[in-house]
Amino acid sequence: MRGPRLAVLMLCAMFVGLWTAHARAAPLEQAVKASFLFKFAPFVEWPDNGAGAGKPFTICVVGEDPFGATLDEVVRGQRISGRSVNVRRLGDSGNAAGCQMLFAGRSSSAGYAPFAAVAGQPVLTVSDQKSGVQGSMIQFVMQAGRVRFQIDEGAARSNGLVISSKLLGLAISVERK
Amino acid sequence: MKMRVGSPVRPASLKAWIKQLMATPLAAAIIALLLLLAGVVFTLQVDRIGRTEKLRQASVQAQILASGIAAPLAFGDEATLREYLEALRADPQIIAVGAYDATGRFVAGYNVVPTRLPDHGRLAEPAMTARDLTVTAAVVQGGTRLGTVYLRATLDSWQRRATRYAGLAAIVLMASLLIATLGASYASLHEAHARLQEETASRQQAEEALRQSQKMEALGQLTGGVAHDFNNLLMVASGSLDLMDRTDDPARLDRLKAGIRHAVDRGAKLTQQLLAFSRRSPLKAEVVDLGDRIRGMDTLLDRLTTNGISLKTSIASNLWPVEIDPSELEVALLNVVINARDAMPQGGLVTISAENLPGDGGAPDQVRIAISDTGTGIPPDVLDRIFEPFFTTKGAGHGTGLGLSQVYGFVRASGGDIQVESVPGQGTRITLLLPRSTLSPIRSQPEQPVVEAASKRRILLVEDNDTVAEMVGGMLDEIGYEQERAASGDEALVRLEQGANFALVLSDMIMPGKLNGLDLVHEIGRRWPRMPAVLMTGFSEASISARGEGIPLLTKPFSIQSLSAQINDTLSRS
Repeated sequence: MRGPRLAVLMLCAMFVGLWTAHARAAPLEQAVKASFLFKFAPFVEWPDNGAGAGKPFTICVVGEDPFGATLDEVVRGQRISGRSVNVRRLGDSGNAAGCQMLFAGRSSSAGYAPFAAVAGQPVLTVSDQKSGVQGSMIQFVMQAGRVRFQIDEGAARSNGLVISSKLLGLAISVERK
Repeated sequence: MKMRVGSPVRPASLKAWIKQLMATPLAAAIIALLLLLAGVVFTLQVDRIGRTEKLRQASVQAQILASGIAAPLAFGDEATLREYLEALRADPQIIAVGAYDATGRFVAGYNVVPTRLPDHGRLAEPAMTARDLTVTAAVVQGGTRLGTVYLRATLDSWQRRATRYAGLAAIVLMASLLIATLGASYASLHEAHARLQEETASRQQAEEALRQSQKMEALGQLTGGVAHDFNNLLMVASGSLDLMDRTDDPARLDRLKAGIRHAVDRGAKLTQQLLAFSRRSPLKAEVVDLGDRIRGMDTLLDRLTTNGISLKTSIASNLWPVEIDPSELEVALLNVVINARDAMPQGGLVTISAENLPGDGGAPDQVRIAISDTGTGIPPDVLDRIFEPFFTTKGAGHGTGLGLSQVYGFVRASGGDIQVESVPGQGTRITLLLPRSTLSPIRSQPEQPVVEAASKRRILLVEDNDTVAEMVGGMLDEIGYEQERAASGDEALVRLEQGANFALVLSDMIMPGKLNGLDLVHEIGRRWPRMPAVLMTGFSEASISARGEGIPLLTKPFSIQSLSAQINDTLSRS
């Protein structure tokens, strides 16, 4: 009796260890992504900068939220162009109105089209390559174990957003159409 | 201890004091020192400005860096970040650069040992020490603070900076040296100048003294000569009087009287010339015919032409009249001829010529008198000086140095000009140019008859000198007037107040008492306006004012003829 239980325990321990290791790595990656997500904002110009004055700058997350509390940690006490920063989680199909930045996480729901609602609007759309969400202006990618991003500058421009050349210079690829 | 520097200075002498101070080497040293000081201050100021500039430059560099590294810093691209930072290594003066993220954590940077980078990044005021300066800049993008930049740069060492200012220092030093040298030389020059001025002043004094002694010598000669002449005249007069006592022959008596008359005339002329010489006699300008005057000097001039010297006169006919003082003209001609004679010790020819010189081109008509000789001539180096008073080339005791100066004075006073041409060894020609007068000359009337008194009228004679009074009284008796004498102006007034019926007052000029002759005439004019008065004077200065007022004047010595004529004129006018 003892042997199989031990083996199960050991197996469990291994799983737990593996899980822990994975869990350790994943939060760091997510934390970097959360930090990047916030830091994109200073390098982007929104067309109605003046109109939004006084209201908080809103970062919205649609679909699954991979950051959890980390994103709230990152934006706490920060200001973008003098505006306080607010995080709003929309779930799978929330109303994206009032968002300046929209991050789309993975979703299991059918017909998931997170950016359809904000098409043509000055909203900076971000997604993660891992989640398989397509059509964002900025997409996180992993390269040599480091978090990097690629930018679809044409899409941003057609939506009235101006992305600083400093940020473009740092992207691993830039789509200009 | 004596205080010298702080001695009080009176404001009046402040200017002089400053002037004196300026001329000392000390002043030059002070100015040089001030210049040095100014140079040092200027250098320090430039250095300070240079450091401030350096600080500003470092701040700008940090700002540029902060702006450039915003994205690499934000997104942890350390390779790009390092590229930005490493680029600054090209500037060897930047000894440490660091980039810190928003939390102050060090991200990337480099430092030159022994400089160290701070562990924690934070914004701070620019700091400057003697050797280096530190600046920080915030990395800000879109209004969001992303981190800080730290930059430290060395400043030039004082040796390097000193080298930079060495050129300026050399120039300032050299200028200071130059000023000090110039000041010193100026001071010595000033001293030399002061000495020279002193010397000039003392030399001028000596010259003045010499001139004075020369004048005294001239005066001595003159008085000696005059005394000699007078002795001769007196000899003639007294000898003739003695002889008159011893003879009854009327013809011989007449001859003796004529001799006395001649001697006295010459004496009168001599005193006239003395007065002219002493310049107390105004120019008595008359319109004269020069030809007549020069011809009238024949006898005088002849006496000078001895020892193989011959005289030639060539006078053009129809000479224009000129307005001059005839006696001055005579003296001037004599002076020139005497000089001509003295210039010809071996004998020669003196030519006096006179001719008209019609003016042309605006120049006035003139009469030219030229006296030329065939003598030794005048050396060119003294030609400019021959008209200076007391300048003479004749030995002491021979000339006064006043002859040609009198000629010059006469010609200039007559509105004319004088020219000298001289060739050493060949002779001299002196030309007097006298302006033509538009008036016609007065013919001198040699002998006027005595104008007898028309009626027995009383004349008040005011004269303090008994002898003169007796003599003039005798003349008045002779002419036919009654006369009464008063010895002073005050006495004359008393007589007039007593109401004796006088027809005229004849008064001397200089008298004892409160009133002189001129005052008396004024008083008479005020109280008895119808009473005519005639003044007698031997002294011409007083006569100038009398003549100016139109008072009838008799110049002593006068003859009985001129006395009678003057009284007759005055009485018939009143």
